[in-house]
Amino acid sequence: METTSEEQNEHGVIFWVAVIVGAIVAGVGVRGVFHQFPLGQQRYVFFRYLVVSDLTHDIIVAPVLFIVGWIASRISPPWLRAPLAFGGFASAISLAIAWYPLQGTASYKQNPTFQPLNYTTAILTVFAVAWGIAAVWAALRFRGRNTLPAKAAR
Amino acid sequence: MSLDQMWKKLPRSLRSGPPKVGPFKPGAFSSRLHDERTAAILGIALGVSFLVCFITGLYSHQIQHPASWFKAFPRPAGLYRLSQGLHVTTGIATLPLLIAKLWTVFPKLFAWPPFRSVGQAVERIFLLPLIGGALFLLYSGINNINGRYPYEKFSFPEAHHWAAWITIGSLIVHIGAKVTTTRTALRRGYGARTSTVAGGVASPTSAMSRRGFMGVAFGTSALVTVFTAGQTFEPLRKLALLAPRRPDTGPQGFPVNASAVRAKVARADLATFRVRVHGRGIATKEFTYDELKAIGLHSAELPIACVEGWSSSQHWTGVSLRDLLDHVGAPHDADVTVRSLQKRSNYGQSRMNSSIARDRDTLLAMQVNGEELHIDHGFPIRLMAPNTPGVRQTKWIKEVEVH
Repeated sequence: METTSEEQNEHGVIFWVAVIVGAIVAGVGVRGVFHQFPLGQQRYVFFRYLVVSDLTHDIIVAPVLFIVGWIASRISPPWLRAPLAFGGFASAISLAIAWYPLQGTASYKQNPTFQPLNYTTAILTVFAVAWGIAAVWAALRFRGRNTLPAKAAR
Repeated sequence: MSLDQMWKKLPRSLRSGPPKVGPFKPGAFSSRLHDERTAAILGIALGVSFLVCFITGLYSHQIQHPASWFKAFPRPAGLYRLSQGLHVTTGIATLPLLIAKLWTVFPKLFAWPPFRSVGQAVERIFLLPLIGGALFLLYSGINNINGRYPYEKFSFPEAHHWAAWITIGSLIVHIGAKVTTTRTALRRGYGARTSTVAGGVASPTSAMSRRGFMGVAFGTSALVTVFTAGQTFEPLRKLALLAPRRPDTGPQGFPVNASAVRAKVARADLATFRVRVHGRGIATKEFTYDELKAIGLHSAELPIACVEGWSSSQHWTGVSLRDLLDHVGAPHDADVTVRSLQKRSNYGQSRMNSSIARDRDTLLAMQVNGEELHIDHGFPIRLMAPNTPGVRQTKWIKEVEVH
C-alpha cells in the first residue's frame, strides 16, 4: 500500500495547514452546537441530520441519477443526450425547489402573501421553459451532429 | 507501525476488498464525465458559492444575534437587503452544482482501499461533515424560506449557523487536499488521456460531452436563479415562479411576514393609543398618535428585507426617531429598544445602537406610500430603520426605552 507522488502532493504541507485551520473552524461549529443545544438528544438529532443527508444522497439520489442517465443514454442518440439531461435535471431541481410551495406548507401562517402563486401553473411554466431550451439545444446539436465526433474529445 | 505494515497484517479477505461487481468492478466508472478537470471546475464554483453564503450568513447572524464586538451600522441602507438576497439566491443556485459535483466524484466512494495514507484518511473523514453539512444547509435553507420547520429538537437559526461553520471548516480541509490536483487539472486541460477521479484513465467516448455536462449543471443553476431571484431583485419579480414570495404581493403592495391575526394584535383605537417613552436620563412621557405627528414627519425610501431572502422598497413617512429622542432630551450615545403590542414573541422588541437610532431615516413609521399603515404592516406605528432585517423592524410599537 504505497503512496504515490500524487498522493504525497495532495497531502503535503498545504494540506496539513488546511487541516489545522479547517479543524479550528469546524470546531467552532461543533462547540456552538454543544453550547446552543445543551440536551444530548438535541445534539444527537442535529448530527443525525448531517449523516442522514449524506446517506440519502449516496444511497438514493446518486444511484437514481446513474440509473436514469444510463437508460437515457441507451435510448437517445448522442446529439440528444445533453439537451435531454438538461430538460430532465432542470425539471427535477425546479420541482425540488417548488415542492413545499406546491404542498402549501405555509398555509398555517394564515398569510396569503406567503406562497401566493398557483404553484402548479408556476412549475408547469418552468418545465415548459426548461424543455423549450432543451428543444432549441437539441435542434442546434442535430444540425451539427455530423461534426460531433471531432468535438466529443472535449 | 506504519500504515503499510498495518495493512499487511489485515486478513486477505479484508485486503482484497468487496466483490468486484457493480460499482466495485474495476473500470465501472470510466466515463470522461468523472474526470478531475470537471470535478475541479465544479469544485471552484461551489467553493465560491459556499464562501458567499458563509460571509452573507455570518453578517445576517451578527445583525440578529450580535456578539459583544459587533456594532451594527445604518449605511448603506440597502446592505442587508443585498446581503440576504445574495445569500438565499446563491444558496438556491448552489443546489444543482452540488448534485453535479457529487455525481462527478461518486466513483471515489467505491475506491478500495478507502485510504492509502494517514493524510488520505483525514481527508476522507472530513468529507462526511462537508457533504452532510452542505446538503443539510441547502435542505434547511429551502425549508426556512417556505416556512417549514420540521426539527423537533432544535431551532433553525442556530442549527443552520453552526452547520455552516462545520461545513466551511471541512471545506477548508478539502481545498487543502485538492489545491494541487485542481491546479494540475486546470493547466492540463481536456486531452486524449484524462484521469478519472477514481484513478484510472477515462474512456475516450462517453454518453455526453464534458461541455454538455457543464451546460446541464450551470444551465440548471442559471434557470433556477432566474426563477427565484425576483423575490429580492425587483426587475425579475414577475419571473419569481419558484419563489415562495413576490415582493409586489400583499396589502399595500408588499408582503407580510407576521400578520396581525397570527400575532394576536387587534387594531388599536387611536383615541386611546399611547406610545410610552422612558429610560436613562429622561422623564417618562406618553405620546398620543397626533402628538407624535406634531414632532414633525420625515420620509425615506427604505427596503423591508426579510431573512428569508425577499425584499421590497417602499416610501415610508413617520417621526424620525432622532427627532423624538431630541424632543425628550435623550443622551446622544443611548441605545434604544422599541417594544410591540405583540405579546409572547421572540420578535416583539428590537434593540438598536445609537448610530442606527440616530440615523435620520430611522423612523417610527405611520404611513407607507402615502397611506396609513395596514394593520398587518404594523398600524398604527412600526419601526423602519436602514440596513436592518425585517424581523427587527418591530410592528405595532407601544413603547420606546432609552438605555
